[in-house]
Amino acid sequence: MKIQTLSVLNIIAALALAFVIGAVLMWASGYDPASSYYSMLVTPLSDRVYLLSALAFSAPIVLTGLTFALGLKAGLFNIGAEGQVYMGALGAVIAAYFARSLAALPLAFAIGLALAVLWSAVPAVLKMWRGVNEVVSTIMMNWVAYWTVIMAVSTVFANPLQPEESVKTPEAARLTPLIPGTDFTVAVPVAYIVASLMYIFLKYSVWGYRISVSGLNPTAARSYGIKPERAVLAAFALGALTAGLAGVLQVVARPPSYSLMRNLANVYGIGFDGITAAMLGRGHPLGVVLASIFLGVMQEGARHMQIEAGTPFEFVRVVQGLIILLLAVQVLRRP
Amino acid sequence: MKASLREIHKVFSDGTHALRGVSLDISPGEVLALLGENGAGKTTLMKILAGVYRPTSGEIYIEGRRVRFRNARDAQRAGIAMVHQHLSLIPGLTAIENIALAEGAGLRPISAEVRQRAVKIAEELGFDVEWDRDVEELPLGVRQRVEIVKALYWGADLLILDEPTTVLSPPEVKSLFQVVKRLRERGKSVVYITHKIPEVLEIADRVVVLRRGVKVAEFTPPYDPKRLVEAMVGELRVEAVSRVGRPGERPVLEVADLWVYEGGRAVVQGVNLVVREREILAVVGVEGNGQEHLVEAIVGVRRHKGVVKIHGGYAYIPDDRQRKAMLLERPLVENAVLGREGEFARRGLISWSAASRFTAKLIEEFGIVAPGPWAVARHLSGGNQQKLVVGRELSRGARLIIAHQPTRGLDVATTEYVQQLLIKARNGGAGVLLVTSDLDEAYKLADTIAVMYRGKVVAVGPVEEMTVDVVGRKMAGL
Repeated sequence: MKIQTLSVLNIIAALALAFVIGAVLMWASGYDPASSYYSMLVTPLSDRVYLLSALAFSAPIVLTGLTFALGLKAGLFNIGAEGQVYMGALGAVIAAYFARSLAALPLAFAIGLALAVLWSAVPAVLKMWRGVNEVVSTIMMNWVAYWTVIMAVSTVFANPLQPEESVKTPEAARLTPLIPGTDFTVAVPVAYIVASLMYIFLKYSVWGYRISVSGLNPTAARSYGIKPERAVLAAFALGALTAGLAGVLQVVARPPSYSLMRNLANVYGIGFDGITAAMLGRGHPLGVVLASIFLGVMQEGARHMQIEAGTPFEFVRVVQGLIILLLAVQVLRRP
Repeated sequence: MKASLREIHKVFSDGTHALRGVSLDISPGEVLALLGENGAGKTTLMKILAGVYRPTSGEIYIEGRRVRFRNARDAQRAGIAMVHQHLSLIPGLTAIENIALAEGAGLRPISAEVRQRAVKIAEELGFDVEWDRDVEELPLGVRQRVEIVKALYWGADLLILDEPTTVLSPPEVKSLFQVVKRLRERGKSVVYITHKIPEVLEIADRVVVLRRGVKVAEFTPPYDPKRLVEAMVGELRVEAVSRVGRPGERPVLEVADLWVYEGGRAVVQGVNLVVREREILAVVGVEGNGQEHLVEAIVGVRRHKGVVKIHGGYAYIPDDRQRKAMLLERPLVENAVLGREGEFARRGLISWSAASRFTAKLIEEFGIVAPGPWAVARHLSGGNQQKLVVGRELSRGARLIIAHQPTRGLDVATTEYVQQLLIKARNGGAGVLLVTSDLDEAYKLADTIAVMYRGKVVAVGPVEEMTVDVVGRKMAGL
């Protein structure tokens, strides 16, 4: 996969066409595309609270986008972020179940990240030992995570007061909004800082270089004493850390619920949005941030679109799906 | 076909100025040899004529009419076809299916007409092809013929052959020349890209010499080989270095009872070798007798049984630079630090400015033709890519140098240069394990010669004792 080879022009073309097709679909379904797009893209930028909310949406996408981007660097098509987000969130719930004080916070990170890394270890090890294609194994692990976490949240970790969600993070352990009245928590700066660190890691560190050599030319890597297997392992593990972090933060640093929905509604799709962000951002960590903000704006805009233009917010998903499809077509078209 | 190129310039996006105003005329029924060193711009010029690249400036005329090719298809329609160095047939399809695809005809059933035309073209050129075999099963020489038939099937009047003999064995070369002559008899124009003087002498009606993107000379028969070389190489002169002193005593590489298996078969069978300081040990043999596995076992890429002891680090020049030694899509800087990235790092972070200075030094010291350290490796010619790899490896200061076919595919001057560098390194005290199938190279460089046959070292001794006769017989398994 040569997603890094997509030019800025390719990306603009995909975006433009996705919006045009989206408009046709809205129009065919009896909605007004112009006012829908206005509410989707402009309204979020017109107000400080909306904008901060859009940034809050972008934070977890940045983190899962990094998972996918890092995988690409190592020559992997790692789509396991989705399941690792669930596992991270489950870790935070487990922490909340056992510790009803501030201690739940460090515990949430510890258990959540550990579970996510453990989850990624399965495809990593399968790939290294048996050459199992990571696309297949990560998709399988995503579904295993999906039902496992639903089961856990519906039984042991269910909230007796609100059966549609899990036990809540104790108040002392919550990371509440930095700016009252918004959803803007410390998760946002944390995600952006992680992206910057990833950028430095990939561009300047010896290990980042080795990962990129392994991804570009594993044979050459081997010839000069770099072990591509280690790069694969590192990319899986580091990617799981950022995806797991996204999951933990969705529980401990995301108002209003500070819990995990029983149908996983507040974590569902974040891993896949990350893939979109990584493709739009051409696999570059800072590109991922920009693309995530764009997707965050669209998600915030979805609410306004539904309220102001009366267009169902699913149309945002439609446009996002079109973007992915049109990017993928261009990647595959290349020899 | 009469084709003219006028004042062609080509500047690649990374700044490489590959062609600097080249003009060229090609007449019908003529075999024109385009001669030049690696990186002189021969292939680039012809890819422009074949519509693969677009010129930065300049004009192309076909039969006196100005044309602008947007892609290779356009050029094909105009009757120009290029047979690339790396052939472009589709593996998994048979030869005839590859031909049928040329005009977008359906694959099954192949119409009798397609088959008749293909067979007729091949007959006229004086050969036959097993049309129903998967092209992957055909020898490279035959695949090349299929490409030529495909081009003519398309209606090509001008054929460009890019270094066509690189992949061929000597008898295949002979029959290729026959084919070229037949093409000429039939009034086709042929442009023959090469850096090999003997080939030019044999088949060219006219020779145009390119050097560093400029047309420097043009010759017609009778040719004076010496003047051809001078035109090609220019004033570039490499000082001759010869081996000084006897090999030392201390070993830098010890291999004992080495076995390498592939698919249950022992491809290297109990090899023992010692390379000492100030010694070039040449391992010769017909390719495919286990040399590749031996080298890869020594550098740790392949699993093996037995002992490999390396004293004091090693440098490695692999046989296939693009596959084993380079990151083609990345800048030279990233290529220059490959395998030694740790040397440019402090506290785990690589200093790219230090790496860039080092790359600039390599470019200067080893005479690499490149616009700068941040140029993309792919845009360098094969010879310059090899210089980069050799430069990187020799500047490590390792006591053992493993060089596997280090001059394959290189032009005269670069070959000489690389060989001199290896001798210099040896005189400086390094031990060199040279694995080559070029006997001239072995005799020119080696202190000691070892012959490999079917996975075993069947003879080893000082170069003075290993006569060509003995080595030849041992290589043949006698």
